[in-house]
Amino acid sequence: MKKSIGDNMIPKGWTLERGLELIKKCGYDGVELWLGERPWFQMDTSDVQVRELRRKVEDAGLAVSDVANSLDWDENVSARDPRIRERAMRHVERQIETAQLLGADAILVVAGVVTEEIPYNEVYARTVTGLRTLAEKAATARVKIGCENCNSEQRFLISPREFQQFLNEVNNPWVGIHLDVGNIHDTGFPEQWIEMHGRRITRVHLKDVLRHRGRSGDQSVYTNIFLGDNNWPAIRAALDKVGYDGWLIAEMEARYRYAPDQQFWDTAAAIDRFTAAKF
Amino acid sequence: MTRRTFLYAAACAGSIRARMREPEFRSALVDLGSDCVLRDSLAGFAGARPGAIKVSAGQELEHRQECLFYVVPGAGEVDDVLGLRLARLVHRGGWLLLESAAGFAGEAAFRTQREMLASRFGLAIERPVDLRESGESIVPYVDYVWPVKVKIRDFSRVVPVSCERSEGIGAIGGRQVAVRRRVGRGVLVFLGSPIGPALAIGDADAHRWLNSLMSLAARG
Repeated sequence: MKKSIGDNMIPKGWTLERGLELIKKCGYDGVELWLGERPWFQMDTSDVQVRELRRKVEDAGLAVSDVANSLDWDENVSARDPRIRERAMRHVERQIETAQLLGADAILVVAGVVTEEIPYNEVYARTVTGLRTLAEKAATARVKIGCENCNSEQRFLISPREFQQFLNEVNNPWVGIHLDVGNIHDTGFPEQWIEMHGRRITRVHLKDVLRHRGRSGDQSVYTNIFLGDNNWPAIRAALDKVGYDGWLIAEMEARYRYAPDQQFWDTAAAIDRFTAAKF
Repeated sequence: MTRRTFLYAAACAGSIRARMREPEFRSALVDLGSDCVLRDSLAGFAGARPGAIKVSAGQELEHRQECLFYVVPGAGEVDDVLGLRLARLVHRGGWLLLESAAGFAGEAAFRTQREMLASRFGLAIERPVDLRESGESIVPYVDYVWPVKVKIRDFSRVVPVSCERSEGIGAIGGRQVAVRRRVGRGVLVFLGSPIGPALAIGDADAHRWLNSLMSLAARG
């Protein structure tokens, strides 16, 4: 398995080059690029600039593990407003295009956001429709769409069976799940999600979770690998069981207040131990 | 001679090995009745092997000598009388998959099963263990190394088994819970962690394990 970390983790004020150098020095194999997050990768970044971005990544001795985005929370394929929905479709299409340019074969999307205003069933129907359309473009580009399980933040597809049913209805091998093992909180167990989705897992996000906190307070429920309540040996064994040998991508919410680069080192070491199953 | 008797006699003709080479060799699912303490395990095996003959543990078993692969799912109490019948089938060249569910039966059932396994198969099993009783976080899979390398979810309570290293085929948390042993001309496969429930929910690895075992048995 190869390890990666998001460019959204690069400390604010750092250049991309400096961030990539740190990522390489810490022993990562790749970087997850977030469309819409940092100045170097926006919707108006041209194809030429995207190719230049790839060159910088490769010059640093890294590969692009996948293309994520930070735009889905404001522009989702499940939105009621057709104009917002169109923008959402456009940025996911751009992810697919840039993934091709960057030499990656997977993207991450947050598909469907349920709110007090937009009910679950409505979100479900529109999300399935949107993903079916996007899947055609993904298939042509040979880029897999991984729908992330942001369970409690999306308030959508909370259980692994719901997620399975959703993927069954989308019914396209180019659409799978980008599984975040930290996002399941106290609604389940990541190792069971891994077992149920198996070959449909496009990528894995790693972080730990403090189950007892819930999500009602102002404190993050997320923490660094091995500091929370995830059963890491079980997660490792489940990945082995389903034959997952792809990218493991660190995605941390809580950042180190001081010496922010230390989080890159600590996380790389934790992923190495996880991969080696040395618990 | 009735048609049924003729078919039975024909099925029994020839050597066991020759019959095992047949593409669809006969297998039997032994229902222990009330001594099958995990009915969902029985259902799991029945679903996985729809062609298997269903037999009860009584006299019927003696008349099923044409079968070469016997599965006893969810076993609680297995007394010496039944043990003797099963042992005879194995000695003659049959394969016996005995799935212990002693962790879900009472102390008396466990003792009876332990005595039967010791006397008829020379196998020593230990008291059932509740894997989560210690409160420690465990890796919830039994690692099987034979006949195929797979991980199958544990079913909470396991029956550890003492055996030669070469006989061990499945372990969890450092405990050997599955064993294969050659007995006479046949083979005993003992499972101390039930896999029937995993078969019932469609676990691909559990099905692969069972299919591999049956293929091996069919090849003799």
